Amino acid sequence: MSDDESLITPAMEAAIGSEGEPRVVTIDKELVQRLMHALGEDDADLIAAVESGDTSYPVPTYALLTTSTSQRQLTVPDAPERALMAADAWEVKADIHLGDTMTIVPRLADISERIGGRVGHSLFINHEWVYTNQDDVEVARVRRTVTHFKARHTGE
Amino acid sequence: MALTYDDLQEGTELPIEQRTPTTEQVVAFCDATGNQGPQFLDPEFAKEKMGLPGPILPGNMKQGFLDQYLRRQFGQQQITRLQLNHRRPDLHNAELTIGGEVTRTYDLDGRRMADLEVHIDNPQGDRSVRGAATVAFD
Repeated sequence: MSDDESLITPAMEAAIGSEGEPRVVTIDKELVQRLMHALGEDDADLIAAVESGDTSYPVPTYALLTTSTSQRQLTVPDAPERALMAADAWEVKADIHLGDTMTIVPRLADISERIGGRVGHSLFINHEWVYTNQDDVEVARVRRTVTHFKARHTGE
Repeated sequence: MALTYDDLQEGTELPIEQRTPTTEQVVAFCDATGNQGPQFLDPEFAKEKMGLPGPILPGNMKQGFLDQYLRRQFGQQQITRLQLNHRRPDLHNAELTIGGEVTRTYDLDGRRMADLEVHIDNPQGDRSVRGAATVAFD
């Protein structure tokens, strides 16, 4: 394949817009605490609220990261194996609390490509997850752009 | 003390903060998030398979640091948007410099809002993350 030949195959194009099975998760106190520790959290009010299991205290959006394994990333056919995250985005619409039960729906939002750049010819695949809580309120949209490439990364 | 809407105008620079995430923190992060990607934990894999200088920070760990940074600046105000472009990998045990700047203040449906540019620089002064955020004030 020449470097200027598109990496976007018909199978990839067909997959754009597809949705995966919903998954249901709970914002878990212990996982949030472990995450706070990993991030070196020092907000005393937040630490106390989480420690006490306060389900009325809004926790940081980063609490959604504890549900990462349930953000099932849809398989994209023909995508090169080497991959790195290119971008992450959160759009937050409502507060998040310990004990919230979230339904996560994954979606393959779109695919683009770029010739050149640090890793040569690469694909940019946009995955999206919509979080809806137990009250049927859309709480957040999480979007991740993953770049797939064939060349080795330079580390630059 | 948290910044208020009245503290902000276009061009207002947010305080700079530093973080140096250790390998132990990366392991704890991967444990809490269930993200066991070998590029974050395995030096050999990072070098041989990915062509990276060593294991790197998960991109969403840097998202966590930026979310935390914004909460430090704005307290309980809601961060309604946080977007990051990962421009360079960051290595374990390297100092990250986190900062930001106000790009716009405005009213939206009666709510006071501020748009921000946010970033993370590596120890060489290169921008490893460039991003944007929006804060909604009560």
